[in-house]
Amino acid sequence: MDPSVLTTLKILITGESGVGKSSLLLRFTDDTFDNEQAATIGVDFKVKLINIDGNNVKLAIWDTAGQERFRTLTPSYYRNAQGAILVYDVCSRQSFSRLDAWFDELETYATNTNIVKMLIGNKIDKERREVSREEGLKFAKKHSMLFIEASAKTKDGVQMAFEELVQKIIQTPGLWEVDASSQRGMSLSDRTEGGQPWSCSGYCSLV
Amino acid sequence: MTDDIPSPCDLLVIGTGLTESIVASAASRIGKQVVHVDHRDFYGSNWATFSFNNLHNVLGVNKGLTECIEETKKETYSIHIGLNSNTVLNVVEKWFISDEDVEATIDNQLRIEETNNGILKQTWTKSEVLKHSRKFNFDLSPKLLYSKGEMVEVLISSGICRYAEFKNVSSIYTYDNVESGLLPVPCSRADIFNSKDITMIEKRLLMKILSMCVEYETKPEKFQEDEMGNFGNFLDAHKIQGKVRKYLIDSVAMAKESTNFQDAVKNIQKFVRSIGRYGNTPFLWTLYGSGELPQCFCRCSAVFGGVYCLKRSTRSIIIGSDGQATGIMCDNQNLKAKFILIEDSLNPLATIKSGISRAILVTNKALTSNDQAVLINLPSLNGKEPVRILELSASTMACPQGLYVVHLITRQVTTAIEDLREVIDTFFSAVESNENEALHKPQIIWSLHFNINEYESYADMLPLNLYSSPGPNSSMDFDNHVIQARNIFKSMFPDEDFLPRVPDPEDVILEGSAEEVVLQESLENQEVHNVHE
Amino acid sequence: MHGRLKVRTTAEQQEIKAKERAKKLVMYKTAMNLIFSKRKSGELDDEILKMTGQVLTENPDISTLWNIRKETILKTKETMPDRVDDYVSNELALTEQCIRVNPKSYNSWFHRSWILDQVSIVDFKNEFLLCDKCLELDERNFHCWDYRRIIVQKSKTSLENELEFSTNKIKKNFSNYSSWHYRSELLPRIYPSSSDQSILDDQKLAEECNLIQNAIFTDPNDQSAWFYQRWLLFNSDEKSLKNSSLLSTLNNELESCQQLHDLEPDNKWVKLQVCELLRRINGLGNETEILQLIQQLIKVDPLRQGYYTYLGSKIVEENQKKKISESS
Repeated sequence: MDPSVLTTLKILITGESGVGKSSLLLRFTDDTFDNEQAATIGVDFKVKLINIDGNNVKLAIWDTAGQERFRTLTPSYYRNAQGAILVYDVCSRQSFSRLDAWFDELETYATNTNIVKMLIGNKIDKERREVSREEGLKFAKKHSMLFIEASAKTKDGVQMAFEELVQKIIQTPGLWEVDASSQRGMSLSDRTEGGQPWSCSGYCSLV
Repeated sequence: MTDDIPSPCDLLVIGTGLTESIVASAASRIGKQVVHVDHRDFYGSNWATFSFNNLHNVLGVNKGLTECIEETKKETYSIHIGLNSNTVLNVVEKWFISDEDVEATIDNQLRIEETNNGILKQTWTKSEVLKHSRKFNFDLSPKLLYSKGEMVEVLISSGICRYAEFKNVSSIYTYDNVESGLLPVPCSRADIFNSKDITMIEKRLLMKILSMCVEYETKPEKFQEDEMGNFGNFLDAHKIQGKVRKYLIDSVAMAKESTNFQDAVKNIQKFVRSIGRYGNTPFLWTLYGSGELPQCFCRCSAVFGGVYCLKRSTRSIIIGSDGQATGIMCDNQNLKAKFILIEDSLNPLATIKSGISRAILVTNKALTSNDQAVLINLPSLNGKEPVRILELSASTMACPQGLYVVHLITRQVTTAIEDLREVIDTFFSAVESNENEALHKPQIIWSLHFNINEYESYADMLPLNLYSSPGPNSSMDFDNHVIQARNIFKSMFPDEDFLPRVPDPEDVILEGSAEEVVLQESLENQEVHNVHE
Repeated sequence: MHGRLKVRTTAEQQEIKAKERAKKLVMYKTAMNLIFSKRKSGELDDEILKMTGQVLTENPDISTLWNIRKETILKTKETMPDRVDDYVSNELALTEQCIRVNPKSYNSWFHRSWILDQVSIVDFKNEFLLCDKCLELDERNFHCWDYRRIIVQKSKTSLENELEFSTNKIKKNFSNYSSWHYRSELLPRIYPSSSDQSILDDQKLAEECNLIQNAIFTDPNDQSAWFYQRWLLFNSDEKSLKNSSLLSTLNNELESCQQLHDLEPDNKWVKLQVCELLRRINGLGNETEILQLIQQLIKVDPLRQGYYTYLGSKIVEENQKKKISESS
């Protein structure tokens, strides 16, 4: 691991289909935007290094992989996340009223009890707004969430949203420190193969 | 929004159990359009892991469902999909603690009492346990991963391991009926060296048998006589008796005396090769329960375009005039597909083969020192089937601190209650008492008994493009299911790779992004691989 | 096309890597030039420490750079004695990082032990922790074993503590010659023998014999166990064995070795050890048996035929001498 990176944080994005979750993600990580962005295929999570208060932090931002379309996110999606972003479309009342259900699911499955939550009202560039800023703010306050209105299309608020979220996570004790993660299990990969090779602690020696 | 399930698709999968999910992810991974449906409101079908509340809901749901009436169409006929099948039956739930202790539960905190001998003791009430509902993860089908087994290999080679975390099983025990106690099974070479339970000669014999079995394929001439007989004959021939025989049969080979030699040797090889990769025993346990694994594969499928719909009643399979399956009726939509995969327990053409007797206990104390997961292999006694006990501590995320979740698994003979009664009585106490026994045995706080049916389907009875996949069986690991999933995939898509590695997120870039423009300057003629069209 | 996903091809990944490598090379060359010109002009300052540090983390085996650091530290000691501690902790951090990059870097380990001599107070707990970590990664890393000996000495850690350390290492993996060797250095100092016959105190010798027998029976092909057993048993003056406690120990060992020989008739190590035991116990009386075993050894291990033949002739010669001295 790069020693200059303080930690890796898992951030996830949820909310109704079509509110622009992937657009926000891709605007932040790749600085691109596509009006015709189809349903998200092939994006598991995106990685981005950012510097917050002099600390290099690696973000792994997880997308829903389209599983929210039929409201069938896997509970395991929520495991071990330090931050969660709930997105609604300011031009869609329906996407706002579904927030309660998404919030409940988050509360049910998130394993970090002090996970930092942020509400983003997306698509403020569009006309015919259906949800006022005050309403968003009220929802966020009620559930102790950070709140920001943004537009993935015009870049407004996107960078700031992620930065604020990460800042809050770093300020939350016990959420990201190495100690907290060592309580968890181990990951499988060729690299983390622990212990000794089979020839040493297995049964048979090499003669 | 809810009605745009793609139709026709390449593969339609019914049931989100492990085998189905592996095939779904493998097909999505090579670009096939997959639709994956389940009538249940949770992932994993008979492999699922539940919290306390969810368990109650599911078992409630499982009882009173009525069957749907099949629809027929002019040019096709349809098979009724046996959904809502009662795969889980004989469910008996029991509490061993009082509903509410009126005195001391003002804020429903668990109380910690100082007992006479100064040991901290926690007392739980029913409402306290239920209040922690979400901290419990109960597996319908708890299974372990061999560290060098098929499941671990496919998780690593595909990259799907990124969705799950694991704990090592910290020790394995067998039961010594002579001394009526648990006997630790020496797993590694170091364990054998350090063991105080067996003599030096026994150490040599144990090591010799293990080394021989590992070299089975390379030195077949050594085994010519053994191959004919069962595992017991083989051990007789090498004069293996006593504890070493117990270790080998119950735990290392996970077999019986009567198991045929080749099967036992395969298990021994897997056991030995798995040691030392991640820890001192060959086994891994999935954090949050075995029900995570089907979800991992579903997530992978979704990332590559798989469409997921739970709570979809799947009413019938439509068979075309050519005898091939053309699709299914799902709610009121006719979903067409080139291939259909259905889990055995939903397949009307599958029959019940046998069953598994299960019990889940919540206890207040570990059977033996256990801060992770412990496996206990009980030998078959008086002709009974061997019983396996898996005890999970809070560090595996199976339950809150201070409690233990104990899974008991055996082949069904009568009912779960009857099949497991003797074992539970031997190891656990149903009442909290001041008798000596209660000091040694863990007390049961809550128990659940049930049976799970094992199904069997015959490929030659099904249309060629309709596949049926096995549900959980009584074996302790996943490997057979991984192999079967691979076989199903290979039969559908013979020339395609099975679960090639997913790209690293760092290597997935958007065409047209700032980073990509720079790259394109120097790599104009490079082949560009599109993940989707 | 815009907005489509694609996966970087291997060629693209290599391209990225090649660019990084080229960049590194340029940086390395510039840094080295600067370092040498600064040294020439005697500018042994913070900047030269920074520059050498950067290069060393990438490549810890450039001794010249470590020497420049030593010069700089020594100069600091003279000019700014109150700041030495800061510089030292800096060196500890750097060497630790270098050891992480290459745990077998001679220079990093040497520099670290040199640094310990430059301060009055050392946090030895930290040093032992580093050793533990490195031995966890590679239990045969002799650089680390050597370093451990140095810090044991410097910190005046008790020998018993080190014996326990070696016991734990052996419990984890007994096929580790380094741990057994470490043990053989410690035991005679903690449990010296009361006679000149054996190498250890009688009770401890019995315990060690039992420990090594367990290793030998678990894996009779493990060379380190046999070597340790030889060290335990064959370390004394052979003439004075009669009626000694060592003789009874040797007889016990012979008995268990013969048991093992029955179980593992083709194992050369067991045969050889039985030979040696018979020779020590009563070379003359056991001559026939010994020579038979040597013939068997030549069969099972033909590669070492020459050695076994020599051994046989040596034993015969020994016996001749004994016969002569007995008859005279």
